Amino acid sequence: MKKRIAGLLSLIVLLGVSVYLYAAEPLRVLSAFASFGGVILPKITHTAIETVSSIDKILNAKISVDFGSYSNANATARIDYSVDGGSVEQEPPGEGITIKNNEEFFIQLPTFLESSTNVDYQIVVDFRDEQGTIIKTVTFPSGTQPQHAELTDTITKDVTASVGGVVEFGSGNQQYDSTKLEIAPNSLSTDAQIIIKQLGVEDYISSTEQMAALYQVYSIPANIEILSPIKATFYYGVNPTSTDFVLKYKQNDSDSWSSIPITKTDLQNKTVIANISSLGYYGIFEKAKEEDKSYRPKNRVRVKSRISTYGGFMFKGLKDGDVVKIYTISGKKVAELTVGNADGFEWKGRKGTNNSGDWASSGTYVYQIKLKGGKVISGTIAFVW
Amino acid sequence: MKKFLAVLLLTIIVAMSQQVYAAFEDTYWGVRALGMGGAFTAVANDANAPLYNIAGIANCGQKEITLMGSRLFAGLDGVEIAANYLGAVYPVTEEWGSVSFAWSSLGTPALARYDTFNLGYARKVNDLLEVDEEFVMLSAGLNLKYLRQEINFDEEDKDLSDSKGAVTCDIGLLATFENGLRLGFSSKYLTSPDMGYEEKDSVKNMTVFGIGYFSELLPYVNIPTFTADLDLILIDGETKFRLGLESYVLDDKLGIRLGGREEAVNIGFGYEFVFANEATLIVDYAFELPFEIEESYGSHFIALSFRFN
Repeated sequence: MKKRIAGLLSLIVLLGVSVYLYAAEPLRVLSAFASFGGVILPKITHTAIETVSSIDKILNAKISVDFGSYSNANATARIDYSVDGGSVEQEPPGEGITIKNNEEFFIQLPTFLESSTNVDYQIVVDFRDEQGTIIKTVTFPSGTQPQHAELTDTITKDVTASVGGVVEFGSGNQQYDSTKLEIAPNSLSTDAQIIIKQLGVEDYISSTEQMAALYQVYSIPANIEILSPIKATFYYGVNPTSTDFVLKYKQNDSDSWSSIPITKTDLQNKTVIANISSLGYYGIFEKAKEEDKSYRPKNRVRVKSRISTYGGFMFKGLKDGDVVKIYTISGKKVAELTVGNADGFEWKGRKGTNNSGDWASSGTYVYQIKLKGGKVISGTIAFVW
Repeated sequence: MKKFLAVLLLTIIVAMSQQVYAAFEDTYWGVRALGMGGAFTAVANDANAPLYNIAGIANCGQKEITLMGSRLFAGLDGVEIAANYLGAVYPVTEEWGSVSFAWSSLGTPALARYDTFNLGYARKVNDLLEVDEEFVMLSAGLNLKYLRQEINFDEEDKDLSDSKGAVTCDIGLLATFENGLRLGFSSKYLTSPDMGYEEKDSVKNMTVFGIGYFSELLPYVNIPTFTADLDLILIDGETKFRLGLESYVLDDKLGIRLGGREEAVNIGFGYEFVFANEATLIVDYAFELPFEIEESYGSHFIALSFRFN
């Protein structure tokens, strides 16, 4: 009997909830309940040091803030910093700059920093209500301990040939590993000063490759020989998004580059590792990044009702013979583009060939650009109703 | 039995009359199910059941939790999509049935993310319908779902809210016959909730019929602990099929799976480590190779599950 009553109650509840859910539209009560299920704290994401030239560096903090549950609040950001242990300054002074949810912004310290400068800094974001009262403050790093940055573009170390040693060059970004040379005993023909110098990359941009970082490795005296390979780790910086790098070498600045094998690309630490046998210039290039990027749509999210105003997903620079295919996340092809205009091929969110069909559903899609020569470039886009 | 068929028929009519449309339709959840090509509606007997057929959790004899990670379309530079799944089933008692919690997440960094939170309940209903358990085991279930999508809009669309949420539900029915036949029915996103940012964008109602067969030793070919499932999916006016096969060997510890659907073929395996007190740790892996997407090494799924009393 008890078993039957329990079962009957369960079924009544199940059916009752089903009928309610079917009938209630738009289910405001349950939606509201779910929306207030928990507070998501704001989160600061940033990358620290930018190289400006071979001499000067700058604390040019690239920052974005996920507002979490404070998405309706007004927020301002600033950096509190001190140089070489001096007094704490604010940039910009006062409350800081007004920022938006998940929008990338920059705060640059007011003066260029010389080599071998120490900076302690903390990013501070204040959230305010409509009356301007601070309701939440978050910092990076959290807590009271500031972030420490050593701005060095040259490192020198005396290496005894019979002992070897590690010549290590601070990356300037404390989240990642450093550029360094690990010299085994008896790898050098004589005792020497080994110097690593980071150089600017502004002059080394081409249409097919982009240099991510450039180092000069040299010695005093200059004419030493490397008797066995040195393990070299080169930090390529925070900006590259590629996972495919080429390491190139030239002995003198006027020589042409030649590729040398990379033994490991460490995406976590943003370094490439190679065994080198010569002193000279070492450049890390993002492989074919620019070529791929030129075809990819600049806007990865398009809203259906705004396509007539802002346009669709534009695959620039494509020509007759190239093809763009759009797939659902489950791998089903929903659209194909074979023709375009002078700008390229545009997907307007329609199924079928060349935007001839019905609207595609909301969701994330995989695109594949197949160039006439056979190269395939893939990526993701989101179409939103 | 007639009552059950009447309920089944009524539910199917209600489900198929729903408006169809929108996202959240893709299922990349549960490694065992994925090894079987996603055909799991008539099987649904573990912690993967909440997203395939909620009625199946009534057949879980032990508590179970499963955690899945994945990498979709490996080898495609520029494509970073991950699907994650957490499922847990808690059988209360025979009288009160089983409850479940499940979370699924499909995300692309800096682009979009889709989360589903599920709270499920299911119960065997033989006693209510006066059907002999020796002939067929009948179960029914309801899954409450909260859907959430988050979009990283471009600059010109920053006036739109980043996230959107809605509540809906799934219902499921499962019949497990004494002769090995299994029939499953699941209607997902029953209320077709609106997830649109600027326009009405209802999540497509998905109706799935599953027919399965289980045999401890498949006649004629002697395949041990054999399970087959064929799912027929009706969504947005389209009809899709999924097929999955599974066999357990090595004293029922190693599961070998094969499956497929229109867009891909799947293989998978799972190994069960049995401990004291009937506690079991299960490691599952599944691989999916898409037919149409070029230059991909396929999608990889791995899960750890723990089953205990």
